[in-house]
Amino acid sequence: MNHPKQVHKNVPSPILVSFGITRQCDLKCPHCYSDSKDKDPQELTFDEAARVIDDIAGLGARIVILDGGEPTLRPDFVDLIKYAAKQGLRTVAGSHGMGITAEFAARLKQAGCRGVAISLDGADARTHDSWRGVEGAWSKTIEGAKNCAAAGLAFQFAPLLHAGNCRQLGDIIALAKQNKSDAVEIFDYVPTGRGKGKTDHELDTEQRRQLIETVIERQRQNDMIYRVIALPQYWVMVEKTVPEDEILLKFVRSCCAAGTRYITILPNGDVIPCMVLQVKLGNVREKSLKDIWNHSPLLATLRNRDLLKGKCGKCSYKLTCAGARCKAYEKTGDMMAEDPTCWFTEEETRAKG
Amino acid sequence: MPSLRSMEWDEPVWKALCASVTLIPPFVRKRALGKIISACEKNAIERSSGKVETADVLKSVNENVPESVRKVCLETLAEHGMDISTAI
Repeated sequence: MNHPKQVHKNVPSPILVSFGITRQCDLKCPHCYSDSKDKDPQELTFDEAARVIDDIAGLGARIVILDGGEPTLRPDFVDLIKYAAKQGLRTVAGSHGMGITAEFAARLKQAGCRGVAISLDGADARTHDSWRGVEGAWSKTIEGAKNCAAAGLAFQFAPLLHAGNCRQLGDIIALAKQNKSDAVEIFDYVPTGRGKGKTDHELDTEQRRQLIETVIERQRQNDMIYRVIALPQYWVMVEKTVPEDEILLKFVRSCCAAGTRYITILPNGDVIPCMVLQVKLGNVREKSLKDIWNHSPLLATLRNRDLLKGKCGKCSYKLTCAGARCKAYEKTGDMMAEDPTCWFTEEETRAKG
Repeated sequence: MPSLRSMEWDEPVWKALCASVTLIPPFVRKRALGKIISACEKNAIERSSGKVETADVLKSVNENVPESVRKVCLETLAEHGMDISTAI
């Protein structure tokens, strides 16, 4: 099916749309951004979800990630993957991987799934299972990853780094390589959703610096693709420490794309700029996604980097970093406030180079 | 590492291209990158200019960036202050 592509003047298309198709989940993670557990009574039906996918394709988005909750628990998950892939979207899934048997991995691939992001929050069972709240989760997750690899289905490990597991990053990366992961996408813990107010789990400045330095060092070795999410200072450090030509050849740009190149749709149809920037923009049952994307005053504000406040407003990296808007919002209630976790001094960010 | 550029570039244009190119998936980027940069420089030479400017980049991006990511690249150039109205 062909869709008219995004045409609204001066509003770029999203690159990636995250579509949470269910709130059902069989894990009990303390940080869960969507506070997932049971099926939402307002969950979009297949037909409603298909219309949303049509809208995503119509917006000119390149990639849709079907996640949740745990999307594999939704009975029509594979049908939704198939539907999205047929619309020409690069369709991927975000899963804990525990339900990905060899047969299921093959079905996903056949349906047009281009990859799976598998949450892995520890290099060993004890660390992962204690965070995810279910004994035996780690083994099943690793098994799911192996099944993806065996089926020729690309996958990446997506660890959430918090104060309790950040020392394991190197081991998680080693595990990813050992299991033939295509990439590692590292999430910095943001206290929102079920984790709202649980600031004890947050990394401190030194741990964040260490995370970034580790990833930069690994990416310079160019053994895998690394992405860093909710920690846009990563790109500032890349620009400050890596020769430009090397950045061009090896690095994947990673900045705060909330509402600018990325948007999230929740299982009940609510639309928010990012899974960790939980400001309701509208609901797809009431307004089309295209209408929300093109006309939301909140998104217009978020996209205007001239409206950034405090240190972020004065920063010479504000176009490529912009600070983590989610952290500003969680700390102050103002999504344009300065990123409270940024450690750079004004002098360090005054002039690029 | 040898420089990827072999002639003078308008610096804001180069920065915008860098931001844009880093959105191209790495597995296709390496091949695309050399083509994009050399085409930009060739375009400047064809204009009898010693410096790569906006028009050279837009032409190169249109001709050398894989179709699947071209629109995103152009939009990123616009975000970084380039006038892309002649490219789309």
